[in-house]
Amino acid sequence: MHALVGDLRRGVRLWWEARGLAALALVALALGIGAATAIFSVVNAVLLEPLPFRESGQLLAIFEKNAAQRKSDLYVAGINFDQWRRRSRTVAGMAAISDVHAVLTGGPNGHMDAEELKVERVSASLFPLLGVQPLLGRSFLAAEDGPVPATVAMIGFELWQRRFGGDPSIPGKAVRLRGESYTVVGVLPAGFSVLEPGVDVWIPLNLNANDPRQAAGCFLTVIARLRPGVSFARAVAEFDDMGSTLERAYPAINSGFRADIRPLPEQIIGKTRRPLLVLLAAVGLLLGMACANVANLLLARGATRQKEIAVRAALGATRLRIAAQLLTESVILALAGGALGVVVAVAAVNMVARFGPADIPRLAQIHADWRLLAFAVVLSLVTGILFGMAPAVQISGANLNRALLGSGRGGTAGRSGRALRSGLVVLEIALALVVLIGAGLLARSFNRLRAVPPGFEPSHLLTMRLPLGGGSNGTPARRIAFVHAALPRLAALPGVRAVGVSNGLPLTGLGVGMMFAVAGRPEPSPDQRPMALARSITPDYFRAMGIPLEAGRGFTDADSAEAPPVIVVDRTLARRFWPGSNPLGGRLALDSVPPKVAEIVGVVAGVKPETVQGEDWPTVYSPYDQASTSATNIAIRTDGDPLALASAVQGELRRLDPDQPVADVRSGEAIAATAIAGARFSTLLFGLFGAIAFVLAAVGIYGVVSYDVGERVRELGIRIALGAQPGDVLSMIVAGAARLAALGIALGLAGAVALTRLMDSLLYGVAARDFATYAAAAAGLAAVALVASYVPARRAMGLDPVRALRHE
Amino acid sequence: MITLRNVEKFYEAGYGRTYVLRRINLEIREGEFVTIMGPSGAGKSTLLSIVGMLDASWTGEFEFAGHQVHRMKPKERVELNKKYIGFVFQSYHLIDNLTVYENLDIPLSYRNVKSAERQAIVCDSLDRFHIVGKRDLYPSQLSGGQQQLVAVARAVIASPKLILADEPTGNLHSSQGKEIMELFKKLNDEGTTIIQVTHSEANAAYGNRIVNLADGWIV
Ligand SMILES: Nc1ncnc2c1ncn2[C@@H]1O[C@H](COP(=O)(O)OP(=O)(O)O)[C@@H](O)[C@H]1O
Ligand SMILES: [Mg+2]
Repeated sequence: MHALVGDLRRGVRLWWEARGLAALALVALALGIGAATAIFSVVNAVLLEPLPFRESGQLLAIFEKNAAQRKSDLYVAGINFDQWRRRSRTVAGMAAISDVHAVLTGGPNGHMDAEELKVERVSASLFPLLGVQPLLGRSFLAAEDGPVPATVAMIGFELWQRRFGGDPSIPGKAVRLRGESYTVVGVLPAGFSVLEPGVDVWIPLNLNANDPRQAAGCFLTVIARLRPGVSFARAVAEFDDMGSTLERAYPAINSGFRADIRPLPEQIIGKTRRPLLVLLAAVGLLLGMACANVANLLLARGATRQKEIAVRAALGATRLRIAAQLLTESVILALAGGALGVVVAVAAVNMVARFGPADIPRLAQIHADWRLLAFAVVLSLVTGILFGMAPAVQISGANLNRALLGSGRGGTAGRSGRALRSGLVVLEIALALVVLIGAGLLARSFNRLRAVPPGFEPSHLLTMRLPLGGGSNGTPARRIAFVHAALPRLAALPGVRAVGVSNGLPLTGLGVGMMFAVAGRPEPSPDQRPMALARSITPDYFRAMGIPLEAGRGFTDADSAEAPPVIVVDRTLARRFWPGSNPLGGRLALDSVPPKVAEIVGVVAGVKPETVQGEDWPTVYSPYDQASTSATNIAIRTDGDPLALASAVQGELRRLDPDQPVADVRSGEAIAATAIAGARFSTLLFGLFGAIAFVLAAVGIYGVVSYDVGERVRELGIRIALGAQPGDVLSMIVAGAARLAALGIALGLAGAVALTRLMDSLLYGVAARDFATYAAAAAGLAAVALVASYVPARRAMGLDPVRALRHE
Repeated sequence: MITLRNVEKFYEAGYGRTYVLRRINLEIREGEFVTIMGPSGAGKSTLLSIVGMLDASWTGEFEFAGHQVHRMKPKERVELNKKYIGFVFQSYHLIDNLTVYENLDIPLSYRNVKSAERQAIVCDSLDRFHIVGKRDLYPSQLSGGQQQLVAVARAVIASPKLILADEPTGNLHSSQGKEIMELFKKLNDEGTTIIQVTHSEANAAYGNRIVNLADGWIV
């Protein structure tokens, strides 16, 4: 015990004396452990922890797909859900969800400030199917989910806390939603969500499959649970079978459509898996580098201490005693590094949870995972012990004498030690190169993404959403009137250049689509009917958005409900259906409600509807007055900073109707930025990793070359005495480092070729084997290696041979 | 060949200068075999490093084969060293992780000799010193006498006109020392100028002149 205290005290003192070295090791360990723990915590929360549902592996998410049109993830038609539920033998239960919005205007104590909420209409069977119990109250009764709408609601934990103060007696009380009174029957546990995050209210679905509009309408997402013992493949086969039957029974709805089934966990986390695994691989490499670095520093230090250790041994210290002391020293370093790593990890996890992109599911559940922390600390301990002990192992009885003689005669005794250190540096460079190439690929891809024109002019653009449906302006007549009253008032505000309304803004989702056919041409078969995005816009919308008109005219106030139906189409639709000819004057038969035939009066440039990297969709723009929809977005082109106008615009709208909420107030630039936020996040993270890799590689090379030079002082002295010019010495040292770097780079390139394939799906406009990126990363790393070796090589150049050779 | 005039060397000590060499005036002609003697710390090694151009910080004048060394830049001095001088050290100073063959090759590698020619020269030298059997051994696998033999072979491999030997037999048995001295004698007979430092009167007897140093002065 006494000896341990002594060793501890001596260990701390020795590290303090070698604090430059210790600091390098600590920084390497802290960065490695911190980054690895942070990313693993994300992976754990997002990918590994089971979903908070009973036996979530048995749950399925079911959509529809159309193979001919290569479309998947489509909403399910009401009739299909109804039929599947009656016919399927492979699933034990089935529930449907329909995403809607509703405006909350009152609570148990009367009027409340209006707020638009995300609402899910759900089958009563959903909660038992998922195995989720409400925190308070009850879930829906089967009777409440009949064809007759029931005004009952369940609310989410977050809304309950935020708007109702966590009132424990809320079950049984009434709230006002979409202008009606709903009775709250239960409160769901914190964090509950199925597919959509951020839902606040659940109400019964009340599907009536006998209502033709509900039967034919595609608006459902279906959740099901496999019967025990039934395989996923059998369920897929059964749904395919049912698909054929239903296609014959309801050709108008189902021609070409089939069920699109996948496991629910896959649906929720599938898209995030790849990026997260790539990040995890990257931090794994960093952790490996950190360990190699620490190992190297310890080995180098051991080499310089051989003589001291040999003297101790000669003075009677047992090997056990020496080992105990070295062990204590290494453990002190490893524990300190581990502790710093924990600090970095916790900070990094909090950063990710706060600033991570919104499209990572379950991000809120992220916490620093103690198991990984333990793993990382154990790893650093093992590294410390293994390599910190090396000098003790090297001092066996046989070479004790030689170590004592030291450089006097034996000279470079640690030939094997040097090989090990060189090997570690090669490994480090290889790992660094893989990380750097990954970072480079993502950066290039991100640059490409950023350069893609979204089809509109994001600067000087203010947008917001008007949740009109389900509120006081819910009826078509009220909402059209509201829009017509609002537009001139907003246009009159100082600083406003143009104001337009559309049911869907670019880069925010596909929104509504509709089938169409070119009038006067042969009808395609029902499953081949092309689909276009349907946009309803007011005359100034193109001007407000900065979408250029390419031919014909835009809409005017004269294109009213009573005027002949007209449309503007986008370039994609025009080129596909009028290749090389003029679409103006052409007519489209639109499957709108009600169906109509409209004349094309203009062509506009294409916009990116959903993602920057996605394809352009054929788009049909109709005058708002001829095709008003409840989804209403306002676009305002401004003279100056768009957000500076936001409060004036909202004030104007409030004066018009104090109960009308406004949602999603954003600048055009924010929309464009959000569309690539995920890519930006991983690019930034990877950039950070690349920087860390660079630093670790430089430190590794510098360390190994420095110690090499220190160890070779006598040899260098001899060489100078035998005629070596300073330039010869420099090139010898740098060439040695260059050999290591070249070996590491070759290994790293091979590793990158193998590993970056994982990144394929993350890259846009850049191949995973992009030559320029590989070359740039390799050149950068080679440059770092040369600079890092040049510094100690300079020292070697200035070596005084007389001093180097003076025998002790 | 060598003329030293008023050469002095000192180290800065805390309180002033410590002189290691004082007013050294020395003339050595081509073909001489000079022995430098004196007690330990007298400055013998220092003098040898100056003559061998390993040491550049001294004052005075040094003429070497018609060159004014005291006016030369470090790089030119190294060139002069390369062209004329071979060094033999007391503790051999072979490079441990190179084989005998590779150790012999070092001086040639710094002297613009073509690699085919280098090979031939090294093999000749192995022959001449009867160490062909040792070519692939490492210094640690040789006896002290054998190591010194390799060190001498390395010193003469680039055919220097001047050999500087600092206590070349200091660590050797007398029989091994004798072998080295016979070798020097032979090289000297062939025309090589030799300056050796030694404590042994027997070794000194091989030379034709003795220079005595004490406390940095020639006495
Ligand atoms: N770096 C140095 N600083 C101060 N004194 C030195 C240094 N190097 C050598 N000396 C001194 O120079 C003197 C001459 O040394 P040296 O030429 O090696 O003597 P010798 O070879 O005759 O034994 C010695 O007294 C030695 O202590
Ligand atoms: Mg000496």
